[in-house]
Amino acid sequence: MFKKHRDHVDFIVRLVLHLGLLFLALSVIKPIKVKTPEPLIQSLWSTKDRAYLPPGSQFKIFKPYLPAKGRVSLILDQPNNATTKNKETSYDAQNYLAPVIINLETVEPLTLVYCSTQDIAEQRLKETGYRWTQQLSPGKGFARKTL
Amino acid sequence: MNPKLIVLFIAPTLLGWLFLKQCLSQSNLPLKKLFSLVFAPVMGLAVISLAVFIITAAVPEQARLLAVLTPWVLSIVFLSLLVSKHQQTDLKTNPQKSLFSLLVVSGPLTLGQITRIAVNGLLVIALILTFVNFTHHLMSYMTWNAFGGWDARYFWHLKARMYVRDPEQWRLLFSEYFRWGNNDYPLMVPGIIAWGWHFLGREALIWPAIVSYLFTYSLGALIIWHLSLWRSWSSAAVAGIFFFTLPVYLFWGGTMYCDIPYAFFSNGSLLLLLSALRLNDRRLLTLSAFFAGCSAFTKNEGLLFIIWYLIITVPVLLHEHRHSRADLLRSFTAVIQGLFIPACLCLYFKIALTGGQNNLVSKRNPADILQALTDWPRNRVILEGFRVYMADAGNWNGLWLLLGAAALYWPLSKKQAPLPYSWILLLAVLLINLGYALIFTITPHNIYKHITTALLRLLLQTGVLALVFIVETFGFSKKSEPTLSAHS
Repeated sequence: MFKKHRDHVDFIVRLVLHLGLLFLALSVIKPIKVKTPEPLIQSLWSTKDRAYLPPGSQFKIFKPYLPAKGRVSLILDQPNNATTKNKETSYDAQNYLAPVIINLETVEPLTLVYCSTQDIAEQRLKETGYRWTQQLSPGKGFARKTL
Repeated sequence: MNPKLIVLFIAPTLLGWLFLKQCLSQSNLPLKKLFSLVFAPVMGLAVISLAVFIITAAVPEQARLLAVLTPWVLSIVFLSLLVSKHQQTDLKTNPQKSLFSLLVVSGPLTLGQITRIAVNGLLVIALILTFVNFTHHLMSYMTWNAFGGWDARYFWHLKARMYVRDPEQWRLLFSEYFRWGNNDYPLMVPGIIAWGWHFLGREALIWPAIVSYLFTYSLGALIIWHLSLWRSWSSAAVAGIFFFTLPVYLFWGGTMYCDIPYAFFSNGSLLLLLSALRLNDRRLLTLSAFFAGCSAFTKNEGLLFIIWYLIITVPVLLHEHRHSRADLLRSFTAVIQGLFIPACLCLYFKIALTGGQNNLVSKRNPADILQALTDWPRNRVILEGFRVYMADAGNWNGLWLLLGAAALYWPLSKKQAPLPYSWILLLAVLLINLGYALIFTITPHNIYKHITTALLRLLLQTGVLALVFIVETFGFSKKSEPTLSAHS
């Protein structure tokens, strides 16, 4: 008698758990509303990714002049580790320019300069001990260590 | 669509299927063909990644060509092994149900059977709809976030790029200049991505997204497979529906981080261990150990997981085979066989390539560790972190609360519908999270930053084990599934 009663209680507990899980699942399920733009989907499935701009693609201007391998530093408006935004830009540069290695310390003989204006670039070169070797556009180009 | 993507899917699936067929050839796992089919894509990718790592380390100048040929060559190897074994073995010694036998009902149906089929049918339809919804949201999220989250972009995909763009100097990845990129993180997922990019001949954005999707789907499939085997289809379907609506897996699957592949291997390892112990099946034990090894080649947490895995497995095997030393030896050999290749590769990676770097556990002297362990305000912050993140209904939908309820109900459940070794799941959840709590305690880094950036992902690694424990405890066994006749 007691066992039968326990069996029923156990069955009810298990049933409640199953219904509870279903209820919880239904309570958070999100209906399909957002439609992904067709060009994005096509771009991805074609594997050509034309609808996407790779992070770090602003560093494309350096690619024709860079060696296939080796190490360079990178000078931005502020030191590379100064802000999360700066870190992100440096890491994007590394992703884009790999296998060339970006040394986050400004110690390499050659450095990439990517500053927003010529004045900031001049100031940063002075701070870090580099001088221009090739300017590609205002505030951007290659510099060599002087010290 | 680029037709190469189809081949990119078929190659690892074929290899994974042959690999699992070979691993399980002497196993008595029910419906192992279904198991092999469901997990073939990710297992194939795992084997390919291990091979790509060996190739790139051994012959970097030929890495591109060899990586592309890898799945085909390995498929031929496994196929020949299977053919030779097929000729030697009498298949009658290991009968298996056909996949179609699931759909066949013999004799007239009772009212109870009809109800059961109807309930299960409805639940399976609901599961399929939930899965389709999950897939749509995940794919949509990844389309908008095609470059992945921070770790994906700067750690995992960068490693894959170094593999692909210059295999001859990929070791630079482990130089001090990449310290910021956590260069001691292992290479399972980067290897998989690199293989796909080698094959496509370009760094296509869709490939890492497909890989992430395959692992997320496989993690859900693990739950359904395990519970349908050890509980019932209805309980498995309910657990699957619950999993495929959990926001935390949708979000982290979409970021393409390695936590979900890691969760797949570590949780898969423990679920296979349970099946191995319940069926007394050494083939499953080997596969379980192989999964554990793969988890260590996916994330550093896997090294810690192997310790927990052995802490659980060794005493259980000692107890299980206390009367037969020969059986014990065979079981230990099975574990070592499974662990051997991935563990050797991990050791080579850790010792020869990263020079023993370790970003998982900070190096501190004993006095510092003792001071950290007795720093109560800090420990309270860690405990509070666990409480807050576990109670976050927006991510977990009450999962950890249900785990607490299941732990309380478990002794009673054991009497009603016993499942041996289910305590392993609860113990694993506790041990793994205890390990992370200890790491938080001794880390010299800012604890708030550490908790906010990592804790949710660490909990994600045991969420599936928690869900399986809940449903093993509260689930219906195949005999006790609700029917009108039995309980009306």
